Amino acid sequence: MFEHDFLAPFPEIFLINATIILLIYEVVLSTSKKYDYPPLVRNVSWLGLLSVVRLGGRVWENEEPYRYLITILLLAANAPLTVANLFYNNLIINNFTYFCQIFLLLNTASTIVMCLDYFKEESLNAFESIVLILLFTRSMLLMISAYDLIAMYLAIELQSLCFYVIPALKRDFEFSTEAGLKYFILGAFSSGILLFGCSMIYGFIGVTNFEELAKIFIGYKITLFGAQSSGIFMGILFIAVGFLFKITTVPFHMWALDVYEGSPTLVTTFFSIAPKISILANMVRVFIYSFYDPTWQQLFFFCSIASMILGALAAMAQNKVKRLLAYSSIGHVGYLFIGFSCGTIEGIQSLLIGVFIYVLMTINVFAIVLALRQNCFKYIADLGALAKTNPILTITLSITMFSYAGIPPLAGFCSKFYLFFVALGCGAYLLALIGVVTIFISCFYYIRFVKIMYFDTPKTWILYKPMDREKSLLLAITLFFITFFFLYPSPFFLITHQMALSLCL
Amino acid sequence: MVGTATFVGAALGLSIQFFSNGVRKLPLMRHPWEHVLAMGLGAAFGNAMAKWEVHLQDELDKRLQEVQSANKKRFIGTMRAVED
Repeated sequence: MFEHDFLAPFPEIFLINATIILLIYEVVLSTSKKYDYPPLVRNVSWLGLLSVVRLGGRVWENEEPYRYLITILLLAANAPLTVANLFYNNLIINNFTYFCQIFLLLNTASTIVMCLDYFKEESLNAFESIVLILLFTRSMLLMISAYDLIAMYLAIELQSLCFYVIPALKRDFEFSTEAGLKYFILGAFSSGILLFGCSMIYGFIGVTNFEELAKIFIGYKITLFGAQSSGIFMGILFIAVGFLFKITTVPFHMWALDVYEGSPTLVTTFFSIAPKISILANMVRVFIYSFYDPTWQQLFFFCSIASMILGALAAMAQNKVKRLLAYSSIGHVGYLFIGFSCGTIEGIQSLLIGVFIYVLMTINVFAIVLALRQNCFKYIADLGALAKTNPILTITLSITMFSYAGIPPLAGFCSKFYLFFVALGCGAYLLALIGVVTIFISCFYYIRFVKIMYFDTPKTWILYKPMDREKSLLLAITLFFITFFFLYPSPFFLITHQMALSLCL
Repeated sequence: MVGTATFVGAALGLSIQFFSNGVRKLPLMRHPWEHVLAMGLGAAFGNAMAKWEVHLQDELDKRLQEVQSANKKRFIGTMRAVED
């Protein structure tokens, strides 16, 4: 038991140690007069990447120590199928947490790869941003494996504290500072609401463990107040509001647009990728596993419909790339919520497939945005010269936009098809109908990218500098995934099925 | 199975290397050893995926059987849940 408790969360412990060592390395060396105060961002990025990749190694009983050194992908090939409850049921490790964590680590690694060249281009010596990225990766790992309301809240708070700092990375840029402050003030409210919800649940039921809560909500255990008292309902509502704020669904999306736009592009990239995985994983555990109750379903139906509609309509009027991508993100969260609000095994499976595909498409788009960033690429109209100067990049962006728009046979189509299929299967016909209509509407602004790139004459000719090797490789991998996913989707279906099944009681 | 996985993986690796050079506006065959490396990695990845799929299928079948037997045990005779 003791061995398990400290060996199973080895990645988290390793990441904390790596972060502390990196921090000491930076502080000591960057203030060194002997080395002429060296800029350490690139070194720290590589070291951070190394720590994230090495983190993939988990130690389990009867396993050889060489597993420490294999990379994440090879490790995934021998996924452990063990269930371990750690630290007196505060954390859990099973298939669901394991694959979510691997996926999260891959995304963090992608983000760090994308930022290798970013700081140099922006003349920004902010090595602390890598440390912050590692810190909130650790928080998100804990969040995914949280199995208790208190552990969950602490992990969310750890994550939020890092998130409050990082949008204000460019201290002399007023939009960046505004973004940081805005997120800090609104985020503090949402955390308070979430904590209030947790305390209400504890006050009315007397337990905080997810498994105990699940037993109560399926009627296996009866409490003094019963599982249907209004206090419990209010508690669930507050927790839901806290989560909905963090994942930027309508009507709690207001902060997202300004924060996405004001933050440095690197931060926007990380904001639109990593928290989606950890928060959705946590929401699935809380709402589908623990609060197995239809009362919250209507709330998520509403949020899904509202997000899909707002994401499709509001993005049409946008001219700035980051604002448009922020609305696109809101719309996609709406689509993902279709699977979530269905609450079935197939629903969870479709949600997970949707998240995987959405995240890979977003990495692809932001890799392009970051590659073009060096030319002050801000508006969609700035893409006018791209087809003439870099046709391969134009084709890549076009394919990703078609995939976002859900055009077959690309990966985006497969994920949306499966989500709507699940909605029809559980009788949520309205969700499927609105989803299809909003996809048609959103085609307008996704295909506008293609139109501007191929058919518009640019007002000013911009010569795009070539991107670095790391970004080009990342772009290639994500592009091939998006394009050829439909030929070989079975491993993803199998993984997600296993993950969904591991949530069964 | 192994041949297909190797061939498809190697082709993917080669395409990724071509794409990487093309998007950076470099000659497509620049540094040929990188192409060979990419093909090797692609072939290894293809085989790992094929093996992993079989492994996942086996595990999933096992898990589905467990779930089925647990469900049968839970609802024998009465609709009330029975403690294990």
